[in-house]
Amino acid sequence: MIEKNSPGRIVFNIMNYGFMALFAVACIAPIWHVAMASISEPRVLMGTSGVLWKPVGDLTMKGYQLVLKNANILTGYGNTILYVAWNAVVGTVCTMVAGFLVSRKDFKLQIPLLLFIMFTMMFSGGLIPTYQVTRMLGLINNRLVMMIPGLMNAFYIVMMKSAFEQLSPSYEESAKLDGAGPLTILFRILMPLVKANIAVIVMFSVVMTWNSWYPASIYLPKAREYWPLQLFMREILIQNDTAKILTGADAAAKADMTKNLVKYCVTIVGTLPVLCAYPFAQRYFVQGATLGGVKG
Amino acid sequence: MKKRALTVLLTAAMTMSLFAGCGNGDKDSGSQAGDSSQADSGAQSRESAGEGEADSREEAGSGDEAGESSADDLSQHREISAWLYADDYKYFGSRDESPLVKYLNEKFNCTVTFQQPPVGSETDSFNLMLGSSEYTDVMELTYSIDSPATLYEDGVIIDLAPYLETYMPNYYAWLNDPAHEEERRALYDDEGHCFVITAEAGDGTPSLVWGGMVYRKDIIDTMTGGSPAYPSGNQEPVTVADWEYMLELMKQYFDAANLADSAALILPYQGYFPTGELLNGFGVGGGFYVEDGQVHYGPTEQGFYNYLVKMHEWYEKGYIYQDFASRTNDLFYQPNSALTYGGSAGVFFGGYWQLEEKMSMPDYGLNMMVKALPSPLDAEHGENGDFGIIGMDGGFSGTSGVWGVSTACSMENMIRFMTWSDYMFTEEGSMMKKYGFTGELAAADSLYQELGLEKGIYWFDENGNFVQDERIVSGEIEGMGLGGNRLPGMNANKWGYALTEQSWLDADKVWASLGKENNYPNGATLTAQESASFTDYYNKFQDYSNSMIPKFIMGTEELTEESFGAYVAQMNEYGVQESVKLYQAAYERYLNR
Repeated sequence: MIEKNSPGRIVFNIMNYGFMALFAVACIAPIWHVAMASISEPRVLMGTSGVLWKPVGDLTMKGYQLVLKNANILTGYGNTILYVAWNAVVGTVCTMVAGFLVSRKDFKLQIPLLLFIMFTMMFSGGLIPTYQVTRMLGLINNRLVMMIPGLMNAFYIVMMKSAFEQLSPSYEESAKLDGAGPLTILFRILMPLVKANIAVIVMFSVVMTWNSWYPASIYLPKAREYWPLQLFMREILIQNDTAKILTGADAAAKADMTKNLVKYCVTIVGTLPVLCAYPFAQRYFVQGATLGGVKG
Repeated sequence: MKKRALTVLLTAAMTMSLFAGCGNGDKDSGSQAGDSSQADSGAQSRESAGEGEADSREEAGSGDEAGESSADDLSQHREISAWLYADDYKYFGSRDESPLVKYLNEKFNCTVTFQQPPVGSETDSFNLMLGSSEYTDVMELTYSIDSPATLYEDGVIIDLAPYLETYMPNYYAWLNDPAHEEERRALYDDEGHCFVITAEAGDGTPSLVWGGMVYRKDIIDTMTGGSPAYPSGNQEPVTVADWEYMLELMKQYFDAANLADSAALILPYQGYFPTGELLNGFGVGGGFYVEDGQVHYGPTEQGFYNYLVKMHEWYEKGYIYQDFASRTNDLFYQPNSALTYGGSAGVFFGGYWQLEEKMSMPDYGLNMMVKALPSPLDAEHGENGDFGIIGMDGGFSGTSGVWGVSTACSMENMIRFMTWSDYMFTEEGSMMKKYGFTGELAAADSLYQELGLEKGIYWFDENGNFVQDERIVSGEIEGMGLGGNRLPGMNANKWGYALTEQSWLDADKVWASLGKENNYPNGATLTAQESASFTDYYNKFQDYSNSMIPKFIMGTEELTEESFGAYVAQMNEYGVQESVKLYQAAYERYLNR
């Protein structure tokens, strides 16, 4: 039976869709503005205010050429991809193993270990003690500082623990009867059942690592070759000068006009990969982040 | 019971974690407040941290009067660590790779290794260094939120005064040159300590004002056929009446052009320029200034009332940008740039790089002729140009851009760094610091070769004239990074001055036309305790002032002698008079140095 729309329902739908459309425009407008500005003519761009719906002046890819010519951007991309891949794969596997471990009722250290993990969620040593520990471990200006200290996240471990706990114990029992060991149970039996949670953790890790710049700014002051893309981007965006990114004759009298363009281009270059990946992972979010849902 | 024990345990842990980050020298919380107990503990830490070194330094400082025996022995190699804020030079990522640093390291048998944080992380990095007490041997102090005197009190840096004559004879001579009296007063404190080595020492060449009010002369020429009739009879606007004539023409021009957004005059969001532009002509400054030996605070003076009356009148007439109050405190904030670069602003704050036709866009039919403007003289209230403040002076800036030697630095490293730095106070060294290499040094350096600068960044022609490589002058090659910008030393400004663009020289004359007799001296500094009290007052009265002044100008708050009097009374209640007293005391101490 098709329900007939009442006038109130129609008004509600119009309001609902209208509001959602406005909300979507409000979300998209800034990104669109940056994208349009990045291909606008720099001097005309400087004399323009308000949101850009289309490029101003002659269409130009000059900003992108300058950005992609810059060795720092490429170095940053390479480093960021390495850190993202490491955290997404190794970090997620470690998180899963930890989650599995603290979800085992027959594990004697379950409660102390869980308390230890949860303690780190609530209390932190603070920046200076963390820095001193990192320094004493010899990780300052070392690439590993981007790969080891932040590898596992206590919140994700708790998430994985909850996911495993919500699975029926019969899966594990039947696997044990068939002679499966803990690793087989984890990776071959349980992992496929919590793949939505894993997808969420992978996505969170990817986005967080992709956007991360602060640890590198503190721990890698003399190791620019290990800097992630976001730190180079931040440097370019903060310093009101793109002398570093401009080369040779481009710098002559052009820096003033090109600096804003380059900032827009760097923003697009740094954001685009995550922006493209997000819609594909989105479908896992609702089911993965809803911890109370029935699985299996 | 278990739950209760767990609760107690967690509470205890939480309390412990609160204290974890509160070590000595946590700049975010402690030093900014500047209370005396912190200063005391800092002094204790100074005593304990540098005790052993201090003894040996004392010996070195006193024994040197014997003469040559005190000279640094360069046979031993030294490793010196230095904190410097981020470089943004495109030819090298760290100052370690700078040709000049490499040359100095070789010359003085040492390796100065620079610890430079990324751009934007300087404050965090500096505070982290202080907080963790892991000081580099020497440090540039621009990003310190504490004054050098406070850093000394906190045991971070040492007093260099006993060693200057021996290990930095050129710097010492520069400091004691009567021509550098102002600098000497700024760099020594009231007790005769000198905590820092400046990176901004001048060679006596007058410094140029780099920014001030500018106007679109092309608009006036268009509207008057090139023959403006300013009421004062001058060719350029000088008095308030001249400005009114100019602003009216600009408004008519923009009205006729029917632009979506335009402004005859752009004011900053506070309603006045804290650096004194415009206000100068009304006989007051934007902050603290000195008149007849007395310190005043501009926004509570009678001249400021006269300024507000005029600005309100101009706002009502549509001369002032309607949305000025919603702008940020950045003079070059982008919406304002859209007006200025879009050709929709008549009078605005500009820099020397925007003068003449530099902002034009001929391809789009936008041709601008930008000229410098002096502040309008309020002749109606007797102002005749005898009051002068320069806000954007590129000259000596007191204790910013200075280097300190930390308590972690060994005696030997301190001496080597002083010797290293002192070279840049010599004539030869100051040329290198300001410009870079010339002659054989340039020919032998790999980066210079790569850039095609084998002849050097500069040279002297057969007539003895100073010549700079064309690509440096045009900006094609970034010259600044090849010199010793930000390193301790003197800048040989006189040669570069001779090459300054005429438009800037002309603008400097206009922007500096009222002089800087009334500037509050950069070197007059508050003590740590005074500074803490002042910050408390300042936050209150500045917030109030920033909220009230735009209202007076826009007319949302009635502006009369009575309402302005009430505003002044409230400002005084928030601590303006106490602040003036603190500044007066600092000024008198400064004069007595």
